[in-house]
Amino acid sequence: MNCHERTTAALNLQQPDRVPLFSCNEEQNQIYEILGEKDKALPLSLLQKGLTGVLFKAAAPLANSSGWFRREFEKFMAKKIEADIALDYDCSWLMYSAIFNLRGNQHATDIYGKLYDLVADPDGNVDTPMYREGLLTSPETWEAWPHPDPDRFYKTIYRVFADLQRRYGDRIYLMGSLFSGLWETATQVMGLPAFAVTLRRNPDFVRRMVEYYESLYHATIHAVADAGLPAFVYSDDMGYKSGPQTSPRVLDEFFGPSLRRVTETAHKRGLKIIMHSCGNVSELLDLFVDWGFDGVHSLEPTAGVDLAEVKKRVGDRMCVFGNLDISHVMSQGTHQEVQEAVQSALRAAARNGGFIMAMTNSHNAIKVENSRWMIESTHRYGTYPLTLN
Amino acid sequence: MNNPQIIGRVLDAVADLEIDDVAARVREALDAGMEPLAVLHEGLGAGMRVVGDRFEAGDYYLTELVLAGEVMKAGLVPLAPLLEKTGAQGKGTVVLATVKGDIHDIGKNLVGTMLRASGFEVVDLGAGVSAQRIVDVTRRTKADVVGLSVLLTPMVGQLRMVVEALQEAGLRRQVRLVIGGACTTPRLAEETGCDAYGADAVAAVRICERLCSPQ
Repeated sequence: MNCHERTTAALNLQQPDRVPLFSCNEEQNQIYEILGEKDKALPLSLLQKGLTGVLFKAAAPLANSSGWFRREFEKFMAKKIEADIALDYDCSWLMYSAIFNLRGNQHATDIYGKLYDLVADPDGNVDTPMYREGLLTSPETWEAWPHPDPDRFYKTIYRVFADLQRRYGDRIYLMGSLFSGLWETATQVMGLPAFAVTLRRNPDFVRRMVEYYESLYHATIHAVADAGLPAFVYSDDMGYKSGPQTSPRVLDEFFGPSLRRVTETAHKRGLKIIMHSCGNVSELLDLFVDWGFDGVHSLEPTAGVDLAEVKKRVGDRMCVFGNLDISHVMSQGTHQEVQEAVQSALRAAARNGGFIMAMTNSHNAIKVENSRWMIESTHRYGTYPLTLN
Repeated sequence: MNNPQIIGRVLDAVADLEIDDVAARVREALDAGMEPLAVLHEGLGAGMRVVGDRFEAGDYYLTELVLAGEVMKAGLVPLAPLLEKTGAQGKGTVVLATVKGDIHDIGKNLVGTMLRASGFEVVDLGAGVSAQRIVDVTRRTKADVVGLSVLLTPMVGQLRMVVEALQEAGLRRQVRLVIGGACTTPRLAEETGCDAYGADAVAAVRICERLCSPQ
């Protein structure tokens, strides 16, 4: 089987020739290390220090209006795919992340209304901006924000995904995605305290806000489908360390109707749609099925998620992705620890197919060497029929 | 209404997350001649304990905990000026910080609110705090506990630096160290030489109460 056939079989809950490998790598330091192009990374000091720092600070509005900052992210999306192909991943989570605008040379805002710090990775290069706070802390400030028009959003995203699918789509199974899901966006643009208060005082506003973000997802999914990609990863961190951030009832009441329509759009366009959520989502698994998702990713062991239990509960209805620990195994673990983690995940969830091997997330302390060990071990132990006890 | 009924209304306002009613109910209790400390502990604080119990029972979630923190803040508005005059001793002093390089503070803020509601003196240093600043403030406030929040795995190195800095400053034996946040685990607490790991804000309060209780 090739990467497309292998991934498609697993997403259809069938048994491929081998467990497919899913990349969620988003880190500049690892991607340029894999490609042997470390000198091509963008140093943060260039934006913040010395004469160039002064120039960037003054030129931030120009960098935004000319599209320079967004194009840097778009170029990086191509590098990410090249790195995934180089490591021999079968499928790649391709997040459309060119949604940031510089605010001076210390911060960035996104299109939704969140403020971020510009931060460096361990090599001193620009890392994924770090969320600081929401700028739209009331319905009034939310109404006043220049929200993107979904039709224009479609055109931008289509252009980028069509180009990437044309260049790389035959060599790796690309899963389109958009930065920040409905829950994450609604809570982060306001900040969780203001959101919690607004949910109580003004639930109709929360519904309206969620429906607007839903419209961006329909636009994105149409763009991804028109660009020829076969799947979509819906990324929305609903989990907390010990459980969901809010009750399944609130999620279903305020977000469920939109999410059902989003998965319906994906299915009508022939796309598989996968839910990604960090944290402990054990209590939400049945909702994910009910909302129409075809797969579920992250399933963090450090948040107490039991992969075998997930497979048992929903493995006949959703493809299970997971769930190598990134807090230790993938960042500091030995070859043996990585190999054992792969074997453990295979034992827990790979039997009879419907399983895709993945780390739980991406961060800049993950070692490329450990990623190679994960891939090598999956090739070695994840070939069907499985021989592990 | 008698005093138990009046204080019960304050408790219920917090427990039931009545953000628009809580300040009026606190004023009602003060107008009835109740002591500010009693309104804090038997009203707002007791309400937060009910919130904590409901969280542990799975009836409340993170959003309810966060909302309870906002209810508590609203309830403290009429009470804070009166409490300052009492100069009463709390259960202990806790220094809270999110380590340098990490700017996430929702969980830490929540821990601070819950600790204050439970009668602790809280010194919140904010997010992205250097090891040296944590050492300086721990020494100056004679803190009983330092609570460190770490969301991101790459910042674990900063956590180790705080532990080392407290050791080098000769403060490690005098202060208990508690960690929490997305990337923390009981194993990490053990590896870094910390005293405890709290999975959430409610657990953090229980741990601080245990660590600060007379042996």
